[in-house]
Amino acid sequence: MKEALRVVGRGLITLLVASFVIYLALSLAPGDPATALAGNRATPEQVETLRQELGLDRPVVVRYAAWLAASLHGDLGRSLQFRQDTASLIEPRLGVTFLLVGYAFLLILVFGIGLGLLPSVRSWLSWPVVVVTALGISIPAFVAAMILIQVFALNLGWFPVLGTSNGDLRDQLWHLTLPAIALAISWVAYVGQITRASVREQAGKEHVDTARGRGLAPRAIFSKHVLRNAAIPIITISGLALAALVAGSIVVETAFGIGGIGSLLVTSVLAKDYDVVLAISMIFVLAFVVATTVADLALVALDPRLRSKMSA
Amino acid sequence: MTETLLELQHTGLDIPVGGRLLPVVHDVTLTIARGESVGLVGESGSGKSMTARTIMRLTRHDWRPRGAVRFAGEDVLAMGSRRLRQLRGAEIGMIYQDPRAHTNPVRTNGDSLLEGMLAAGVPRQEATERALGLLASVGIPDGVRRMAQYPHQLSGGLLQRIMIAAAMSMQPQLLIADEPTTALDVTTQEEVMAIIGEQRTERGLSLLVITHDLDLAAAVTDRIAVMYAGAVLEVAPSRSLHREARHPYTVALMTSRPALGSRRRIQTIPGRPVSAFEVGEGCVFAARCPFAVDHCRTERPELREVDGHQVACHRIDEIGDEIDALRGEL
Repeated sequence: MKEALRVVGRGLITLLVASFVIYLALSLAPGDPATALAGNRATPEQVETLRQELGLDRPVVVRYAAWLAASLHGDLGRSLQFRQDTASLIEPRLGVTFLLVGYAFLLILVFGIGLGLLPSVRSWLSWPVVVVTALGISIPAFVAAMILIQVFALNLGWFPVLGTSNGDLRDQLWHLTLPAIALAISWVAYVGQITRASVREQAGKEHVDTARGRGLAPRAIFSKHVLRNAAIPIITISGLALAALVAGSIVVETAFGIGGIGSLLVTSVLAKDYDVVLAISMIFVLAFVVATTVADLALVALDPRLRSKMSA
Repeated sequence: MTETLLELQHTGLDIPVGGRLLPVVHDVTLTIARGESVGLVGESGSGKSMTARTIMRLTRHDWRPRGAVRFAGEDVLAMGSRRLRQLRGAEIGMIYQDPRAHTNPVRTNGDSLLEGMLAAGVPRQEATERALGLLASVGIPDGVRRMAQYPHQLSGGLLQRIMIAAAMSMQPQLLIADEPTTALDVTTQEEVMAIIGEQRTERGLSLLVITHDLDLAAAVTDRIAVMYAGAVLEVAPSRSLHREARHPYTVALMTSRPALGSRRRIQTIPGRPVSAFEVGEGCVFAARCPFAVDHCRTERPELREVDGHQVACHRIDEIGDEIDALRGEL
């Protein structure tokens, strides 16, 4: 329990530090929001006045604190590009991104872990799994996206080429299947490799011999002594995968023309839509920290050594 | 003569290395009677632990045991997997050199203690009661607390006691102790050996103690089998092995041991220890034996009865005087 609180506390601190670093980085990025807002025909004096109005002349730490306070109250600023509240701009697009990421994550868990477990069920599958996962890891999401669109959308016509659906969940999932596969494919391979290696390593541990020597059946040995222990690295990697999927959604949403926050980030960056870029970047950081914190909590629940090392 | 419980006859083990089968155990012939305690001593890599694994068939699927292993008259090497699971734990228990490595770190000590009994169909309630009794008998009074703890919260000595209790929980007839004290500190070593000794006398258990420590073996066993490069070279009563060693290797082993209070220079055995797969057709010790002749290098000697010892040496009858002379240096 103590260690769980520690993990959550660590996550909150990471979130705070990371959000400041992002804020700092964006404030250093080329392109001044005041110049953009004032338009082409503004005089330098007008721009300067606007800078003061926007508070851009204040030190970055002060601006960060003000932004943090405002965003905690739900005020994420305004979008210059769309001339509306950032919060109300992002909100409807969050759902589709989360659905995409969740879908891809499910694919990773089911097929990644499944692939990694195949060699322990049928030992002759070990070699094929190694080859397939090595290939899978080396496919970037945008290449996977192009191939999937060409084959399954254009040639076979099984799935829609572009866009999202406003229909029911089934229809939405049908639209998101190819994007989710493109997003998941290299992580499926990676999680598959980690699972295979981890199960293999644990199966060779001496305590597994002890269990055999106590007359346990192979099935019980596998679930209680191999899988349970092998889950520890698998969970770590899965947490990282979930975090990386959120960032990966930028490429995949753009490739498939999905109106989520990933594609919104791209158009906002191009339009120098400062508040929106900031808000979406923070959502990514939040997702990253939440994913890794949840993975850490799962590890604490699973590995007693993590629990008492601190309290001892 | 009491009833034989375990019988090894020309038992060997071949394991595949780089596509070839290589022997790690050549030839072990040994019997253990009911209630008897036998030591299996030898250098590192002499095949002691591999012999133990062969007895319990704790081998990988591509390892090839040879010869005969009979437990209570039943051929262990012919057992199917179901019968084998009954043998393991319920008839032969085993404890290991490193209790920490041999315990699953993410399961409680209670899980480890109970899993054998639960697998054998003992109800949880009864298994828990039995485990608590056993923990008390191996010197762990606060069993309930210990069972709720995890292995990393216990010292090596405590963990080994739990391993002993777990092995005893299935009421085996034979306990194989594979270097049970090597990973423990000296004071704990004695306690653990004493506990094993107590369990043996209380339960009429047969014991196979695997160790490289001749003194330890002499203290807790009735007979000692000396192994070298995968073969048993001499079997002798524990009391007389030290003074009356027969085999040239055993004698060399005895004279190469440091003794407290002795200012004698420690003798070494010339040459280097060889692995089981390096020896050819002949006697496994031939390459380092001062008495070896051509015959020794071409044909492997069988164990023969010589003055109450069993010795595997072709020249044992001819070299008696030389052996006596060597032993005189002790």
